[in-house]
Amino acid sequence: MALIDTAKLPIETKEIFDTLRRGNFIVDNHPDSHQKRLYSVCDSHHSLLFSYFDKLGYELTGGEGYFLFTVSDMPESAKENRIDRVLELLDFMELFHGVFPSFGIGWRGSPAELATALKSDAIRYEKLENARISRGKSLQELCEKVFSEMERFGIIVPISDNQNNYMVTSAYNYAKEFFESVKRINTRDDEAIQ
Amino acid sequence: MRAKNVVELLKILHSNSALLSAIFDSNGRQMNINSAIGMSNSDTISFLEDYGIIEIFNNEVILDDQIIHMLEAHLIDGYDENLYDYVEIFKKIDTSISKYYNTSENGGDPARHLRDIQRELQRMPRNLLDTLRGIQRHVEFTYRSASSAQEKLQELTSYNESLLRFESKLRFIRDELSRFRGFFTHVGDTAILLRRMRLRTYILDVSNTLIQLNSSVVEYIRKTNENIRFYKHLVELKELRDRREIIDKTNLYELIYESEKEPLLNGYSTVERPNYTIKLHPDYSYEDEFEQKVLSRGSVSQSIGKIEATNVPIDDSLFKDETIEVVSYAVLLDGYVMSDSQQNLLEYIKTSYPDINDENLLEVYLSAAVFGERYLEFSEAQMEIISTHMCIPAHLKSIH
Repeated sequence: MALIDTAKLPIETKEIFDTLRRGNFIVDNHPDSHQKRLYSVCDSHHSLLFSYFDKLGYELTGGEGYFLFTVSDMPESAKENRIDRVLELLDFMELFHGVFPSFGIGWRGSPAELATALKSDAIRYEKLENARISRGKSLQELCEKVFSEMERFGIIVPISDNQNNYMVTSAYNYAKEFFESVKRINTRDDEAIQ
Repeated sequence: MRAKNVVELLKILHSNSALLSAIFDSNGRQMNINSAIGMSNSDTISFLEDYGIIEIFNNEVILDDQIIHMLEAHLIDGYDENLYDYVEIFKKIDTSISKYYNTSENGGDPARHLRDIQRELQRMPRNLLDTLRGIQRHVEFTYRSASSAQEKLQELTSYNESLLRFESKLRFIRDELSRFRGFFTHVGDTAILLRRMRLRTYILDVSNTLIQLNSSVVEYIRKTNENIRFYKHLVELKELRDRREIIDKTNLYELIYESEKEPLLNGYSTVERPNYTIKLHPDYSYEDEFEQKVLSRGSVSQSIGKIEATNVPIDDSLFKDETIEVVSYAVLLDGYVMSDSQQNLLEYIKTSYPDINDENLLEVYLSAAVFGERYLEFSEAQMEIISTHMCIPAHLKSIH
């Protein structure tokens, strides 16, 4: 077994591990400069950190502007749960892209803006009202919930401007890459129906 | 009702600039309705209200938030609407060039016309890239809720076309100026020579900025197109989801179930992994954490046994991580220091973990030694090994 000289590990190693281990992204455009720095550290020490975390069973995986951990021993139950969560994310992504055409990395907005937009978009409002998360919530509360769910997915982060604004991080690329890899199959059935 | 594009909006703002400027400068960006009507007329106020530029509330005329943002952005960015109206500037430059040649040929003083050319050129935005960013911000933020991506794309495409015309016109001016051999090099007068040199540098500067600007617009258009395409894809997937066909008619299930590696993401799964901590580096290790790190395989087996006894089917893989035995160096060293034995640390570890293989023994020894170097005495040879800080890569070791 090859030993790793831990003296060469960056001082942020534990923080990087803790952040990724908790299931968060490390992104290059986080509004917090310290978080942004963690990305630079991951980027510049990638091979060393990769080898180190790999021994612990975590693979340091990088995408366009983000890092995350991947594991190979996720239980089956987690996979089933993941399908539900991915479908929920699909709802949110479609909602944000539909309401805000320029939604993408760097976009900034607030629950209040979503609420204003939904007031004049009855179809989307109704769809959202029927969603699982909407029970007993006012429009503003519902929009805040949508934003907090998107934050949980790591796609947006709050900006500390005291105006409840959020910003889209590069973790958006992960979601985008994932949904782009979802392709239609069994199209013959559709053709037959048509 | 909304302005269709930035040009239309600018026209509206321009024709009502006195009133809007007064409201913008007033306290709270609002003005009493009678004062506002006094400055213009009631039809104009209604028109501005229809276009969402102002709002009327409690007899107060208030500037729309988005317009305030735009005006503020204008003040900050130095947004220059000349970029939309450079045709007029070029016309003046053309005239100045003709006058310059005519005066030169007639033996007059051409300096004045050269100065005019330069002045008109300088009316173009000093920093074209900043201007572009300003326009993009206006397009994205001022109109994001009002116009579709296609409309924005159309606006930017026409903007890009106008930039290309701008570039060709600039090339034309440069060619015109160079048309007569030696225009830039002929020394007739030092002041004219200097002015020509500055002019040449300025044109070069504008050309370079324009190249960057064009590539930036092209990139922006590419991204917008990409966004439109992606949204279309999302809508298709959403329709399948609403019809509960997404699993059957896409490869989503395969993507998740057949992938060898799973992302460890909080938002994408609510299932928590077993929690454990690691020691990463002796210099900034977290001693407190190591106090609680000895997990025995026995206790895990016991836990599994208890759950199995209830006849509830369980997934063994959930416990997979816990078969790892974590070596606590603090506990190990405490045990060593408190023991009365005459063994050295290496022998002590070997006795404490009789099943340990040589490779793991060395790693545990080195790590324990590094961890406890402040409390232990080592020979020079040992210190040399320890000073390399060759800690084990992970302090979570299965001891089989």
